Amino acid sequence: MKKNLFVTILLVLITTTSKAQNAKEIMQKVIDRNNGTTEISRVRLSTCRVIKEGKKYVCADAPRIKVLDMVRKDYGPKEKDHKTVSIIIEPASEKGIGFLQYDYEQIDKDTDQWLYLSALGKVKRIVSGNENEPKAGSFFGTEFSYEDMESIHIDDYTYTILGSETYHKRPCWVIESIPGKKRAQKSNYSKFMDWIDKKQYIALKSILFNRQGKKIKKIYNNDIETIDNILVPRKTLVFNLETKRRTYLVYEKIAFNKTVSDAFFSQRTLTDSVFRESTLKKYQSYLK
Amino acid sequence: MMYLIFHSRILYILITLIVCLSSVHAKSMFDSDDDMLFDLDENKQIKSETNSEPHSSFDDDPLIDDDAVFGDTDDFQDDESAAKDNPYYEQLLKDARFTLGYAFSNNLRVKPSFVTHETYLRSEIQTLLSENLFFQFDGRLNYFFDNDHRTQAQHKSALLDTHLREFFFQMGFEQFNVTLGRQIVVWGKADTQIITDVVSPRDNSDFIFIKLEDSRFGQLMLSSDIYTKWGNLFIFLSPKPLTDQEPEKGTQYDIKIPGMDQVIINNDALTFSDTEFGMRWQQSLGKTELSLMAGYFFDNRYIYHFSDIDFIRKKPIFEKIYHSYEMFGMAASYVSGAYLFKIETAFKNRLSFQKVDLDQLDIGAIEKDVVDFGIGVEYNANGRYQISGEISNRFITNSSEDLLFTNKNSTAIYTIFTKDFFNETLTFEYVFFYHVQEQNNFHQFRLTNEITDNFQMNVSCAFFSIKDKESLLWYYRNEDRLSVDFQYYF
Repeated sequence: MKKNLFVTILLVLITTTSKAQNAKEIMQKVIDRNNGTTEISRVRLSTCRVIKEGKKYVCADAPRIKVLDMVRKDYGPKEKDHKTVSIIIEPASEKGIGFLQYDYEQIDKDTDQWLYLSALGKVKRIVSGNENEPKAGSFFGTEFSYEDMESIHIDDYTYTILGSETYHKRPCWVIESIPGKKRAQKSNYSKFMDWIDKKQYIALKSILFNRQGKKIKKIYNNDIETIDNILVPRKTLVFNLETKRRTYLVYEKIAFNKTVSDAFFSQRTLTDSVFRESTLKKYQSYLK
Repeated sequence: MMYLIFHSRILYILITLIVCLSSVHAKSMFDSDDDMLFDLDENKQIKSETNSEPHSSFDDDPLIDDDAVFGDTDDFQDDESAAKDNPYYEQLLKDARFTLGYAFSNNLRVKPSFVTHETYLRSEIQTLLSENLFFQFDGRLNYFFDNDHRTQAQHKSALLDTHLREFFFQMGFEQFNVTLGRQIVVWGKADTQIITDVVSPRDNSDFIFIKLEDSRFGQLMLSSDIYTKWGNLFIFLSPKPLTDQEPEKGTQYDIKIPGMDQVIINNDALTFSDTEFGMRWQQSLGKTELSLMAGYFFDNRYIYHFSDIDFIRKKPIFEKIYHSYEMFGMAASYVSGAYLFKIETAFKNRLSFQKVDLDQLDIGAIEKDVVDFGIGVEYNANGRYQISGEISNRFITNSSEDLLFTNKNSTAIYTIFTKDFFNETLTFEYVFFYHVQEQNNFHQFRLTNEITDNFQMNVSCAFFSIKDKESLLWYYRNEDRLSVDFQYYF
């Protein structure tokens, strides 16, 4: 009997360990999924408070719309450092505001951000905030937080496969990610649950839990297409269960792996109008 | 052994049952409320990619009412073809932004009455005329109602006024650009004090109540930005530079210095021979930004000069003269975590000040060397709020005893607190200013509410506490004001 118990415990341990390793491997594949060395896109962000009408959630008020032209280029040996330029096209009140951002893979290296306020005609260095506590505030006033938009470092979390299930006809792993002590200190979330497509290694759905362990957001990736050999969800929905607000992030046009000049990711792009507009026009001719 | 096999079978049956049940009901084992359905707020149609590679479209997702999502319309193609077919003016209109505004303000201390009351239309155009030619225009048409202080000063029933802020053409090349026209140039890191930001003049006609971004206006300039790996160089030449726009005579903020109504004042505007020129070098080095500036300028403030006596009217004649000076400046910032540190300094050689010696009837300019210095810090509480503080000092290296309204040291402290609410649609801002030597201070509260994406309301209140009777601000001690501004962008 004792021998049987020992074998059972050993089996459970082996299975758990193997599952944990698998979960991390799966998430590593999700993180490493090719997202192109460069990306040129026009993004529409639409945010509103929702109410339930019958079975559907519909906007209770006129949605807030932001349209941005974005250009990204990856750097570094693993292409995990990103440089991004974002220019606001809509709404008219914010037209011309530009952002330049450098994100680094190195965990303790702060993001570099510059903001160009066309009304002031001045580039301002943005203070990203204290890295040791959670960041409040939202990404362009949407239900996405800045943390939702950050790249994930694989070692920041421990992963467990909770099980497998079919999600909208796609076989998925349901994987739980729990931030480690250091990450938990600065994260708004205590846990993530991701539905990872078994074939394409892409998250189809995510549930985010706040620091008190309560479900706070759901993120859905829809309309997943292969563009320039890159798998991309053209529509992402985030629903905040607490505020009852939702944001759609829609890639209206997108292109990957086109030639993008390094010089574009400099403050020159923010202030030199002729350089910015003529370069953007050239890049936008690649858009689909 | 049989026991183990029996239990394995039970486990197998249970798992099979769970899998079957979950398939039948399509419910998640892990998310009990995954039946949420969302409506797209707009029928934006997404182009289906037509690459040779087959799609991996999971378009059967019922989470979004997607019936109208895939269609024949191709937005991008439409935009492109529209741009090609459109007449040129339509492209101009597409690249334009208009702001229709209505603003009024009330004095809170003397008696509840309108100070300003206006409506305006602002037009901004930024368009690429050809591959390397860019055009920018920023102009405003103001209509002042009968109870606006500017209308009342002219004893009219209404006043119509135009204001051209910018009008320039920019040619782009590989490593540089050349800009010609009326343009605004912003220098320095300080947000509140003018230390190196001396190029573009400002509109002071409405005292401090014009927002900084609206107060600067352009002047005729030929300029060039040169981009090198050793930093960016900006050089400019401005013939016939413009100067600060002061409050018009008789308006609310026109300083009524006793005795000034007994003199004749002539304006001596700058001419094409009065040319300003300067340069700025700037470089970004990791977390540090550094810029160095140098130039020959005409002071944006005038100095009264006694020139003659009008014997017929029996009044002395004064002339407003703008004097030149040289400036060498430096500005730097360093970002670390939640903090941004800023420093800015300028040495102004031969800067002119007002000298008044009534005994000798010597009223004119006296040149002094000046060191302006500012230091500041911004703190971002991880998106919850932002607070910034700046302290600046003007030090006159020579004696200041013969100067009017001027101390040897002039120290000012600024604090700004900003907090956003409701997904950044409501912003609260509090500004505190304190002048150390004069012990004058003011508080300003501002609320900006984006009612819709294109409709914005700004409400601000300013309260002055002016203690120094010798200071210029003494004349504004009763100017507490409530200002309201509605703006519609299209």
